[in-house]
Amino acid sequence: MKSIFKSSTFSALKKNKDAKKHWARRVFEKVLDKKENLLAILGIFTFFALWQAISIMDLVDRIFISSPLEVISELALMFANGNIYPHLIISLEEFFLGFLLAVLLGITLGIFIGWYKYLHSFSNSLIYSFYSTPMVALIPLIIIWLGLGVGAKVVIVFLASFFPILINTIGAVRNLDPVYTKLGKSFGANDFDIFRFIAFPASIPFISTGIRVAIPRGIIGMIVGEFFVSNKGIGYLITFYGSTFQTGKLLAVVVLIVSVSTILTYIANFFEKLFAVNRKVTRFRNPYKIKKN
Amino acid sequence: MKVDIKNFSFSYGTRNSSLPVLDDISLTVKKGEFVCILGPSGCGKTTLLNCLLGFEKTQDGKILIDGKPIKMGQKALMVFQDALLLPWRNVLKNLTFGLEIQKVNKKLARKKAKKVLKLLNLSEFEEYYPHELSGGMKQRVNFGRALVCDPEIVLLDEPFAHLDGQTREMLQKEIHNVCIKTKKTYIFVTHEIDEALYLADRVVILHKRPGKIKKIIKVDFKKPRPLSVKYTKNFLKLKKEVWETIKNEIYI
Repeated sequence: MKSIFKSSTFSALKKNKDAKKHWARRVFEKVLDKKENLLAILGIFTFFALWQAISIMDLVDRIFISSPLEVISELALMFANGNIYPHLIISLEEFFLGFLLAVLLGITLGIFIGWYKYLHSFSNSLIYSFYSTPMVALIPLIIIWLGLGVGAKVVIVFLASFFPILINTIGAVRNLDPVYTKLGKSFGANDFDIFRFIAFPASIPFISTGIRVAIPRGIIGMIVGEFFVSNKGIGYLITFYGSTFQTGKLLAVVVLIVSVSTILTYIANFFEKLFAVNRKVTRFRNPYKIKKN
Repeated sequence: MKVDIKNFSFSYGTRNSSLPVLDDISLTVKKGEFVCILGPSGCGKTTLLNCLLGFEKTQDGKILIDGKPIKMGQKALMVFQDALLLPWRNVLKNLTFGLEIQKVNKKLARKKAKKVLKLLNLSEFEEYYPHELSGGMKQRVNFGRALVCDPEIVLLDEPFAHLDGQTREMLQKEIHNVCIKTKKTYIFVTHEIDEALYLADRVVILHKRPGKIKKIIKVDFKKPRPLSVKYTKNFLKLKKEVWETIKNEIYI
């Protein structure tokens, strides 16, 4: 009877079946298709299984390490009863305001400082000293200036995420091969044209690297800012759960932070791909130099 | 467009020291003429092109285009030694680069670019990105990028220097055909005697630094020239003459 299922009809059937499947299932099957992915999942699973086992066998007091199942149920509970939302919203608000400010100012200032040599010499040492200053040390000062409200945390997020973006943008513009500027000028381009057609597209990969580096820094700024004095926000929740020994809830909040940070990084990657038209070329170099390598 | 270079001298340098590069050059290039500038390396050929393009400030003497001083990006355009294609733009968009700067309407720019692609036999490659092209194709796009803006003077700065011998021959032929079709004024800088004699109406031989015009040789083979013209007796005779002139200037 096997001959009835000729390979071609069979594959056609299979294809048809594939199309009918739910998209999530198709993605799932695609992921499982690769050995590397399978091993990665296995690795993560092992970690959580060990954790759960240690917790069940009471090798370490539960108050110190909680357990994965407890963390997940706490997280689900937080969303189910809605207690997390006011904290999450206020934290995200602080983060996005500060981060947006950092992106806008970082890119614009970076382009100017990268483009004008004298401006760079003037500001370079200042930028690096500010970059090396631990932001945590400045937080009490910022609170003195701006009080305990959202404003102070926006500034902290801004300071934490501004410099990687600024420094990457400056580097990108400064590293532009001057022959490309010459090329633009030979066609009669003014400074704005050169920026628009050459310097900015060439800088996009570097700028997005800066943004990717800045996201976790901004998140850290947000949480640490809330550690200090706050009665709302994710950072406040962590200090609160910590001081009341609710380890499961504390770790649930940490998991939430990690997810937010990862999602934001993926969004940044998405925007990079959207802007960089040619996805294969990620670095701007003299094409001849690439060829010789 | 007539190019007039009158008693032109140029030197690089600071207040304390200066390096004379070009010395008292006078040359008139007629409209539609193809002039090759030939000379040992370091004799200021590229500097001369930069001056013609308007990159360097005129020091002594004058360069006039149709009796008027140079304005960058208008009458003359340069084809650079390196292709310098923008890696995030495909071939078609690389061609419209100059037109976008000159604020030409987008539709018109595409139309013009497609026409030039056809002229250069690159029509199939308009969607390709620079890293997907061969060296010869890149150079053709580089040449096309200048052509599409319809300059009256095209300056070519050793555009084939990085290419292998065979590709170079084919591109010489191609440029020759395009030149006949487009009727612009060409000023071509090169090291290669062959290349210069094959392409040019006149070959200008420069002295070693500071560059001075040593000799101007008229080349009057009938156009269009097949590549085989390079093996004719007259061509070889001319080649020998040029070599004899240039030989003593080259030092290693």
